[in-house]
Amino acid sequence: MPRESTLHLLLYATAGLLAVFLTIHVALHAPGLFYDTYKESVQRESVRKNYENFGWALVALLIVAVIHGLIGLRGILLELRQGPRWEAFVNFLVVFLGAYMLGLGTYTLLTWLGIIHFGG
Amino acid sequence: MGVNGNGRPATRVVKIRVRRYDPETGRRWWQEYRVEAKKGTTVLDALLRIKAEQDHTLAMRYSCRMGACGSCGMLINKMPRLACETQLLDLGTDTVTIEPLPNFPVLRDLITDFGDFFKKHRDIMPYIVRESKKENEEPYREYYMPPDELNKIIRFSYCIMCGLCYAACPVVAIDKKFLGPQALGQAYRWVTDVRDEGLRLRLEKVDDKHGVWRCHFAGSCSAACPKGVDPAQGIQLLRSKLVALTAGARREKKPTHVATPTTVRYVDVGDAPKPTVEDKSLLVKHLEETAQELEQDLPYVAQALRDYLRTITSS
Repeated sequence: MPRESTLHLLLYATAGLLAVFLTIHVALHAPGLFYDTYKESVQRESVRKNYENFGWALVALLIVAVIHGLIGLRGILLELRQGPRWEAFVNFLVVFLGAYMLGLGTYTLLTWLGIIHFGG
Repeated sequence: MGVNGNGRPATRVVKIRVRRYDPETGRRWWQEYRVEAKKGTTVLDALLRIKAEQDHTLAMRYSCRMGACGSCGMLINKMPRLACETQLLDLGTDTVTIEPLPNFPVLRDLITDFGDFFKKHRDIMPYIVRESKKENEEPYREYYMPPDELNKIIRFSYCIMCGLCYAACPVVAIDKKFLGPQALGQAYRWVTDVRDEGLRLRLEKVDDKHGVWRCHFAGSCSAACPKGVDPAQGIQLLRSKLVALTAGARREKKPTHVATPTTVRYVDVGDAPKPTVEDKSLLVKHLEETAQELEQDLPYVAQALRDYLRTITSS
């Protein structure tokens, strides 16, 4: 694990970036901006269009949200209990969850965009 | 019976509920006492009177009786306070509850174990660390410190290690390894000291899973501090120092204002002032009168004054 100060610097940086990417995310669903209604913004075709037009922003949102959230979760879990085995478990858990969520999110996006095809 | 400015009686009987613990039997219980209190009667006065007149088995820790030693920290009406600085009537309740400080293991009644607390304090190296091994091991002169540099740390230097901030901290309550506001506040005090060169060593200690980053900034430590030290501010400043150093935004501060021990300039402060009471008999008379006045309400203080009188009259 990196040093705690490095993790917290990352926490603060991702918090700033989250504000930017969450604004884009909310704007994509806000009525009257890109779509007339919220319901229209969550239709299959709208989501596909968002992925095509703002895929980079959504991947960035996924990355910063996962990093920010997992560093925060790690802090909470380390406060709940103490001990070397628990700390090792928590570190493993956040790395595993991070890899899983980033992998799943990126895979979903790439599949939707048709860059990779599940099952050939 | 007279009344005070609020229209309340100047003297009244206060019910004191003390949380007691007997380590031999493991029994914990609440015990009630009644003490007559007037303006100026502190919680420590009341406890000492209970111990002297009602229950000799009541155990508490105290020393200076003037808010300087930090020994008599207790949870008074659910707030960590110094018993010697808390006046019974100021609490404004007819029943006063007194418990040992939370976040500390209880040894007996109101006495708690400060071992872990002091260990954490020692961990952050609360002393000047110099790069020169010789200076560390054989200090031979004091270091000159300019007043403007002293102003930066003086607030944090008022810490008397009473443990009230540690008792008030919600993070210490769940994370026993957390260094706590006292140690972290002192870490800031020492890394900011221009005479010190141990910044990196200390930051390694506080930049830990259970170090400075665990603070939630509840601010209860600063609210509880009887000396206005504001450890919460120290922790935030320590964090910003760490973030800036990690991000490379600020270089490690070199103690540019520090004179080496050999070039210390001593200022002639002149002779000590003459005693204000030259006639010893006046002092003796004053002490006798004071002891007489206190005989009724604070007999142990009167006794202490008489002991002192005996010392100065026999010398």
